[in-house]
Amino acid sequence: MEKENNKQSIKDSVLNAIKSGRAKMLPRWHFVLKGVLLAIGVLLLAFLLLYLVSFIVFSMHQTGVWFVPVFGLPGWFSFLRHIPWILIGLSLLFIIVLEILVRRYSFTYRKPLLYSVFAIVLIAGIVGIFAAPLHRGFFLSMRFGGKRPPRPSIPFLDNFYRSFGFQRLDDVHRGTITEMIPAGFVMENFGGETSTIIISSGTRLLPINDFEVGDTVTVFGEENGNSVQAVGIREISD
Amino acid sequence: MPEKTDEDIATDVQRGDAQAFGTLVERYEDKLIRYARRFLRSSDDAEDLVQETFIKAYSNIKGFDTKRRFSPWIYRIAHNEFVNSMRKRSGKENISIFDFDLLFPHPVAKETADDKVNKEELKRMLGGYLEQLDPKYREPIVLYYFEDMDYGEIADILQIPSSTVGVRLRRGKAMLRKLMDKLN
Repeated sequence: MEKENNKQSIKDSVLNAIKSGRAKMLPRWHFVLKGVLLAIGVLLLAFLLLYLVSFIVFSMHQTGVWFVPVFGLPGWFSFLRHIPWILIGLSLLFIIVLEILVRRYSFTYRKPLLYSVFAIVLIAGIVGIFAAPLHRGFFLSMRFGGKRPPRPSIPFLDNFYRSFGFQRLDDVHRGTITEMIPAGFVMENFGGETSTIIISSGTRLLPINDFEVGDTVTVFGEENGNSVQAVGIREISD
Repeated sequence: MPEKTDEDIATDVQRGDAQAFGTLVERYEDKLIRYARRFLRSSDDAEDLVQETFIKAYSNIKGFDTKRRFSPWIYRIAHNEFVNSMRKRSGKENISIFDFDLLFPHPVAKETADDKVNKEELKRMLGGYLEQLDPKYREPIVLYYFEDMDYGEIADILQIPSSTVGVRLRRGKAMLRKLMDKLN
C-alpha cells in the first residue's frame, strides 16, 4: 500500500512539475549548440596544440638546440637546458584540457585514458615535426634581418617569434658560413651578427667533410667575446 | 499491439506528449529507487533524488538520441544526481574525481555462462555487505548484479572504459569476500 502511494506520488509529482512549468523541456537547439561548441572547442584546442608543438620544433631548429644531442652527453645537457620548457608546459596544459573535452565522447571514454593521451601526443608530435617548416616563412618575413621583403609588424606574434625563435644561446649557435679562415670560419646568424668559429683537433665535425661558404651549420661550444671554441659542428640542411 | 519501447515513448515526449513521460516514470521508478538505495548508504532521500532525476530527464529529453538505448541514458542522469548528493554530504563518502584504474588498459574478463549462474548466488551473498564497500566498487556491483546491466551499459553510465568496469567488479567482489570472511 505504502509502495503504491509512493509510486503514485513520484509519478504525480513529476507530472505536476511538468504541468506547473517547474520542469521545462530544454529546446533542441540548446543541445545542438552545446555539441557544436564542444566540437569547436576541441578543434580550436587541437589547432592551438599543433601550432604550439610545431613552433617548439621550429624554434629548436632555429636556435640549433634540436641538433646538439649528436654531440654526446654534454650535447644532451645543453639540449635539456635550452628546451623551451614554458612552451612545453603550455602544450601539456592544452593536452590535459583537450583530453577532458574529448572524454565527453563515447569513443574516448570507453577506452583507457592512456590510449587517448598517447594518440593526442603522437599526432601532435608527428604533425608538429612535419609542420615546423611552415613557421619559417613567417619568421623570415619579420623586420629584423630576414632576407625576404619585410611585412607590417604584428605585435604579439612578432614578439613571440622573436623571443623564442631568435634566442641567442651561450653554447649553441646556428648560422651560415660566410668566410673560411685558417682557424675555422666566420659565421653569420639570422640577425646578421657574425662570429668567428675556431676549429681544433678535438672538434667533432658531423658529417665528416669539408665545410664551405654558404653551408648552414650548428656550432656547439662556449662563446668568448666574438669567437666560439667549437666542441662540435654539424652541417644542417637549410 | 506490441508495447511501445522506451525509445518510442521518449520520441513521443520529445514531440510534446508530456503525459507519455508518466509511462517512462512508471517503468523506471522502482529500478531507480532500488539503485539509489543500494548505491547511497542512506536511503532517506532516495525517493527525492529519483524524483529529481526524472525532472532532469524531462528537461533534457530533447538531448536524448532516440537511436540509442534509453536505459543507460536515464541511469547516467541518476548516477550524476546520486554522486552530487554524496558530495554534498561531505565527509560521509569519498568520491574521487580521478582514478588510476581509468589510465591503463586492463584485460577484459568476458562475461561467461558461469557468471550468470554465480550471479544469483553472489547477489544473495553480496547484498548485506554492500554498504561497507567504497562507492567506486559498490556502484558497478549494484549495476551489474542487481540492475542486470552489461559491461558496455555500465561503461556508458559511469563513462569509464569497459575494461575498468571489469576490474572494479573483480576488485569489489574480492573486497566483499574478504569482508564476509572477516565478519563470519
